[in-house]
Amino acid sequence: MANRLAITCGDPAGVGPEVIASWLAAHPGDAGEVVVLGPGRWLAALPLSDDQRIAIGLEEFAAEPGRPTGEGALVAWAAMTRAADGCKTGEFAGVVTGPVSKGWLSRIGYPHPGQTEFFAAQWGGEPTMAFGGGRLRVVLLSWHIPLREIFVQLTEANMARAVRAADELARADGIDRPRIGVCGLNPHAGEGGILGVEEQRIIDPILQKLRPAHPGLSRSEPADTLFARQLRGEFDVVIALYHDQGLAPLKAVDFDEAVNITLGLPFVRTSPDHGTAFGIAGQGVASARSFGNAVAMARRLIAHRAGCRS
Amino acid sequence: MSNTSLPIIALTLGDPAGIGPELAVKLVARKDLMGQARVVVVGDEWVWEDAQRLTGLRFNLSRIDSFADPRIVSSESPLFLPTQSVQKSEIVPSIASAAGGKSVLQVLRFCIAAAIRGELDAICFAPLNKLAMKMGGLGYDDELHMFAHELGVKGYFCEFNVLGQIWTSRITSHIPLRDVATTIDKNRVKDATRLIYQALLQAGFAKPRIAVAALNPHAGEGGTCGREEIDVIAPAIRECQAEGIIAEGPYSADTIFLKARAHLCDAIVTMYHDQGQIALKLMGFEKGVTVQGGLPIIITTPAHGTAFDIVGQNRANPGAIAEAFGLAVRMAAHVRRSKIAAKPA
Repeated sequence: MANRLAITCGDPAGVGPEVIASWLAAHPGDAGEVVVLGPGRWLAALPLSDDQRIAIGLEEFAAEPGRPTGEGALVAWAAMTRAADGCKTGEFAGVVTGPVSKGWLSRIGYPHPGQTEFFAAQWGGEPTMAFGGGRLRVVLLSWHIPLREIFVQLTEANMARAVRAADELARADGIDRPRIGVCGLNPHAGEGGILGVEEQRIIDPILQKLRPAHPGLSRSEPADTLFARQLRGEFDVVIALYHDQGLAPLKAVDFDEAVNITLGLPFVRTSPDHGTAFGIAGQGVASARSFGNAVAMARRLIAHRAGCRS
Repeated sequence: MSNTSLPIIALTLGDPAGIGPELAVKLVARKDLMGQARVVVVGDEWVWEDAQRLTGLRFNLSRIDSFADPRIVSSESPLFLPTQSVQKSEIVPSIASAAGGKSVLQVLRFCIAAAIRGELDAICFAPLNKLAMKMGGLGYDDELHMFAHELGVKGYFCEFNVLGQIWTSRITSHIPLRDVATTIDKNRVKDATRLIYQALLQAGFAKPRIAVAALNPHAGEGGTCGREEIDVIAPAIRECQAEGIIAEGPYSADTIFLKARAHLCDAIVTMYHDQGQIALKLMGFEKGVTVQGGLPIIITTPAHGTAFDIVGQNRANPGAIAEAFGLAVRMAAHVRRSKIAAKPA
């Protein structure tokens, strides 16, 4: 059946399988609209019909929670590949991915720093990493790069991409005229050039160029108060210029709720914003809230894109 | 404990155009706090008078002429040391002015001079206004640099931000982000870690646990996403550990504050301004305290500013200045005790 959402298991030894199972158990009405990809034995125990199960890997494979293996990482990778292919053929409308172990994936030759880059390579397009699902909406201009290399990322193309993503994220949540706040790079957004010149020389001129198409776009604002201002309702979404600038406030405010969203690609991909949590896998204590939010977020984005096309 | 062993604390009124005088009056009304120290309120008579009128609180504080006044030794209640730093006609409430800034500078310098003579243990100052101070001739980046210069500090000094039980400091502060990676070196990380460790001991933590933040995403991911963690931060932490300091890290900056909130550490050493300030401001830092670290005397102040939007309305909340005062008392008492302990019998 076309336009179902693909759900990948993530690392079979992590908390992915159990949060998926607990979400399915808690949302029997939603289960008909998803297809789950993972180890066959695990799938057999889930409350799904046969056409909603796509078994990955050897039939007898069973992961031991908390004990990751290369074989498990291979299953995680293969599930992502199958889900990405299914989007290209029209089988799936988008993907919600379970958490993977970057360490184990890189050991078996996975060449990407994360899942975001994998889907970009499979589908084509320039990805943008974004987060939502809780009280904050955050879009990153750059992510997996050393702090001393942020400066070369401050380009008009990158900012335009981030602004498009911020706009889409807010609109998918029903906001018609998104107010987009942009973090400054330097303390106090450079304080008029005294604490750094990138705001005046690079960032603000780029934002000025983009503003006609996005009237709600701010100038560069002091980053240390911008997230609190978003919480107070002054902005709908914030663009952070680097990883920790956006992720530190997000995790402080929305630790259990946040969803990792890949925008800018032909298909929607979301993921719970937590890791494999091998330390607690199999104990039944992992929260499925972020995963549930990831499913809901993927559906909103898919519906929003369908609405834009029609 | 006889009160002659209590620390002597100067309480200043801050910028006369802001909420500082109002806060000071409300603080003096806190008998529980005033009983923990020998308190000298330092400021202009007319500022104190106006603030008492605004709050409807009235104290008959004994006037003294200097910190050398013998009544400080035995006084059971706060004393008032009048200054003549500014005329009432020079001040417009809620407006930053050179006169207001100059007044703050004069009073703080007066207290620092007394501290150098050994006449007081700590200063708790009500909010000042940085712009007014600059207009009034500050001549330094901020008040901390002025304190350090006037006190002849040669070693490492930095500001600590304290919010509830969480202490933070930063290796770099008001510099462009571009300069952060090149400014961070092993000695700075070590100095900052040692300094906050000492401050926490003074504040009464028996075994302070320090978490040191990473510079790069995911703490550099084993060197694939930046090398400062491996080359600079981790070696500095190891050397601090070898000195007996309970320090750990480098921890990924996006989750380090969650550790503090879960009480897995008492202090966080951050690498740059926004790394700490974003998290602190989300957690309500306006209720917090700033401690001037690395000085030979204890200086604290509420983290919030002069709040020009609510001046003269008797609405200012003294919660943060009470925290700042309480911290000054605890730290000064600790320093006093260690000085007494260090004296040969």
